[in-house]
Amino acid sequence: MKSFLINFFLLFLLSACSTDKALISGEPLSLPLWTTSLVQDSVMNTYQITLQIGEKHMTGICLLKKTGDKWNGSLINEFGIKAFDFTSDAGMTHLHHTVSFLDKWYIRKTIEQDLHYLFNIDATKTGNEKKRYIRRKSPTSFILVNRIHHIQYSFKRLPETK
Amino acid sequence: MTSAQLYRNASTAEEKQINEKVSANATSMKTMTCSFEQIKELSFLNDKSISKGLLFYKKPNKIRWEYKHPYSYIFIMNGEKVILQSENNKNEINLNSSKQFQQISKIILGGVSGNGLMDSSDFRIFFYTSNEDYKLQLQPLKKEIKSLFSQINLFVSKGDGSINKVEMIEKTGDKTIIRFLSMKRNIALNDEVFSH
Repeated sequence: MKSFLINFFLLFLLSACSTDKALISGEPLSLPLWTTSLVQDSVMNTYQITLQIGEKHMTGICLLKKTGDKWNGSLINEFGIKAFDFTSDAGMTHLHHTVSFLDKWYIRKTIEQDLHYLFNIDATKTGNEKKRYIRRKSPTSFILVNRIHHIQYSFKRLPETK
Repeated sequence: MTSAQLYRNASTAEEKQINEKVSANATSMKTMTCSFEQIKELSFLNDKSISKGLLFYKKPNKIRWEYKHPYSYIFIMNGEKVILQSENNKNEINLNSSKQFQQISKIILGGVSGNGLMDSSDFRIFFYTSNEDYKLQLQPLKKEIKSLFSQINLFVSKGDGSINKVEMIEKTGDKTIIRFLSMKRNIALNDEVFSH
């Protein structure tokens, strides 16, 4: 499955070889992740997203709208081409309109589980970091690590210019 | 110029003329700078994302895509190298030799310059004309491109054959429109523009 995830980003986002072997950095979460510095309710929030799978880096843009406990978003590349849409709430996280080469059940399942963990971290307050964990890098950035599949998602909110 | 304006099928003679204009423009264009407006229609989010910025192109494969609004973000393609910059963060990476990424790269470079799309076997091209401009409708033939786009439309200036708008329509129906504005061709562009 790892190879399919890699293929996805080779096609869709940009990928690169990396010599950086470091996996864990940043502060463990002791306070809520989704503060107003990181997400604003009911408006479009934009994030630069970098994924590291094994030794490969990939980049793209995540557009995210939070309305109460419901999250809707899209992952696109720098030129606007979409990889997938997603919805998440306390009960379920789903991918939608997944681009065909990524539309495999095991890839969808992994991403859905990672996103579900991410968007519900403040509600679930799980201390169990056996499968996944999050490290805050700054008030506007963090890293999510999937320990099973060795996937690292870096999110950095892009502040609006005036 | 809007996509709603009236287009008719180009005649064979007009097709030849359009081909020649776009090819001549692509051949003669060594560098190009312009401002751009990128509109991403997000059907799922029932919203639009509108970005504006500056674009720098140098033949054959250097692009600096500099978003100014609503966020500041620089994306540079320089051959096999990509540089990403936001706020104080800079990330420099080397592209894998992915056939599929090369397809996207080719489409973007082709959309900016016209290079490599007109004579490509990747698309079936339909030619249209209006009072204002030409419209080239590219229908993907290859599986890799078909999985991304149902159609790509290039809008070409009748004056100099330059491409001033690109519409990329995805299989999901989402549309990305990129307009190139205040275009300046063949001005001196230092390589440093594409290095940081």
